[in-house]
Amino acid sequence: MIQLDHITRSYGSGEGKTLALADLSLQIPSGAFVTIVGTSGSGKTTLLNIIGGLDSNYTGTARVADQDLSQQDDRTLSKFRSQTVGFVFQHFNLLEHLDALQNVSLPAFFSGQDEAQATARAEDVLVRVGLAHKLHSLPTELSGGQKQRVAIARALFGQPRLILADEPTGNLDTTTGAQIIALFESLNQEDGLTVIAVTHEEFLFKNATLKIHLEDGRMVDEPPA
Amino acid sequence: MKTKKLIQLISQNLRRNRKNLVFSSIGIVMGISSFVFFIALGNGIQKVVSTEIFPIDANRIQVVTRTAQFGGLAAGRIIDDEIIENLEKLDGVFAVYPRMKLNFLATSALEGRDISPAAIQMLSRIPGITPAMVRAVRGVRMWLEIMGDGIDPRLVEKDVVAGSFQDPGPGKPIPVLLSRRMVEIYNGSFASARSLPRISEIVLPFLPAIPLTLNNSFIKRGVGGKREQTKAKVVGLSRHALMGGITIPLETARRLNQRFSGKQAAHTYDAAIVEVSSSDYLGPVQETVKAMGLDIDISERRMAEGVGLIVLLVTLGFSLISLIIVGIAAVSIAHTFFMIIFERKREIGLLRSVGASRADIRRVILGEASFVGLVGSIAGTGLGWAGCLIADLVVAGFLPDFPFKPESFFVYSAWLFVGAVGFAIFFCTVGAFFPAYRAAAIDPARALTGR
Repeated sequence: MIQLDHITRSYGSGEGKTLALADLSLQIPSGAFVTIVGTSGSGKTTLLNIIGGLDSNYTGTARVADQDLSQQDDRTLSKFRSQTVGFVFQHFNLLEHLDALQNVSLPAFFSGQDEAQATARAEDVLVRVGLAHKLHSLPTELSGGQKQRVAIARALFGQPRLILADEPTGNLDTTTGAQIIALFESLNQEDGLTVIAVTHEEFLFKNATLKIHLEDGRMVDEPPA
Repeated sequence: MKTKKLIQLISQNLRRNRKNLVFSSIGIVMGISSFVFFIALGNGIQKVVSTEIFPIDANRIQVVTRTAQFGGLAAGRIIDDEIIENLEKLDGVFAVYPRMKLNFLATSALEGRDISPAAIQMLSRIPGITPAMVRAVRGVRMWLEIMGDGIDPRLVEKDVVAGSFQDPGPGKPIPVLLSRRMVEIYNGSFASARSLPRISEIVLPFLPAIPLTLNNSFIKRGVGGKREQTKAKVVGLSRHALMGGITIPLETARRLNQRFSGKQAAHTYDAAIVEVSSSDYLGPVQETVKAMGLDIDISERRMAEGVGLIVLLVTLGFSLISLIIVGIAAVSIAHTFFMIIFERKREIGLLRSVGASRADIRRVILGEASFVGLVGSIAGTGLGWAGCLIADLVVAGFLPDFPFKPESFFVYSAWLFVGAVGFAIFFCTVGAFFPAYRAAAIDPARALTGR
């Protein structure tokens, strides 16, 4: 369950101050498959970052997985990101010098998992996303779709309850994008993960259970009850 | 974040940025190498000063007769057998070694051509003695006024290498010790300038006996009494021996003084070296000695401390320059890390998104800097050490001999290497301090979107 109450987030100060989110309140049930849509600068990524505990410079209250994120210190938020959420980015954000297995097990550096366990878990999630044959491939040896699968595997590594995807298909062709969306749907339906995806390609997310439409930091469509 | 994981992450990052880091650690390497070089040099010179030029015994003091001073204490009493006995009885005194001046005049007239063919033959067999040196020895013509003193053989027993240092009795060659300092000056300047053999413990057994005329002077007229011809045999080199003279066994000095200067001269000493069992007793013994109307000769100690202080200051000066180089290198390290952090901004955002805390990011950056410092210090220490070896080789191979020229000018200690590594790591960590804090302060949300 995600509960946001009166979230306001702005950037800059004085006359240059920009309001990214304006008194936003919403509720997302566990297990939902959510898309966040809106024009550029409407506050989609900011919303995602607040839910993921990456951004703590806001007013209001954000409760995610029974934790009040607005009250947590850096250490607790880091633990929250490591254990509760998994991020997927438009630009994949894979480290070029690490192979798929090492990229996926990157969170183990900070979670304290031992190497053997981490490698086994990374293998499992890479198999889960259909990359059993690419365990030791470097990002430069992977296609865009495969890179995004590695990124999804990395997001799954810490067994999160929530996947936050920021335009996950933005750098992929339509066919590959559809395959990635199918993977998200599978994670949502088979593994029971809550998936929240920011997108400009709404048409790809046919099976979303909830759509949040943002304009100028405000929700313009009420989510269906 | 576990230490093992931290080290893994650091090593991955260092491998990626090795070119930049190698460049920026050049300053560290140079600074640490010069630090090692100068500290080792300073230690080496200190060692020469304290063991060769002005050797100081921590547990020994030289007691002398108090000299008259205007406005000060009056002249004290002489050192005689009774005083020696009293000194021996003092609490904490381990031994007393009296010294007695020769209270008569003596000369030596050494003519090289008078040295026996057998002695010359023996001399020529010594390794390192060239025919030119043998010729120079044969050509020697030396007339010396001899000053001398007698010393307790117990004090110098370790220095005797070519015979016995005991009173041989009348008519026999007198065993003689020469001052190491004097021999060093002879070897370093006189011997090389005159092509004469250098004197060392190795050549002592082969040196011919030196003719001595007791109760004689080349300078002073009218020395009364009968002259006596004898010989002196050098049996060792000692830092306790008289500088600019000869040192003979105390009993021989006593016997000769009695013969040429009378009974009182045979039982009066000009100094006594007092050895205490522990340095804790030094203070109280000194106080008692002064209360007895005697004085402590600290001229050697003062000289040693003065020279030592100069060496220390020069060493510190050079070390400071080295540390300034390392400090400047730390600025370069800081610059490099700022650059690396700028390049890795998105990566730092990613690490934060997968669970890295601000402290983790700081630790990674500071760890990388420490590792650069560690590697830089090892390389710098190696380079400095190599520099020391080269300097020693250059001095040994290209510079002429000079007094107190040591085999090596450098002394290394474990603390030097620990200090070098410590300084390098410290400066690198300081250099990376602000970059590390800036990296930790990066807003992951903005970094991940490339803003």
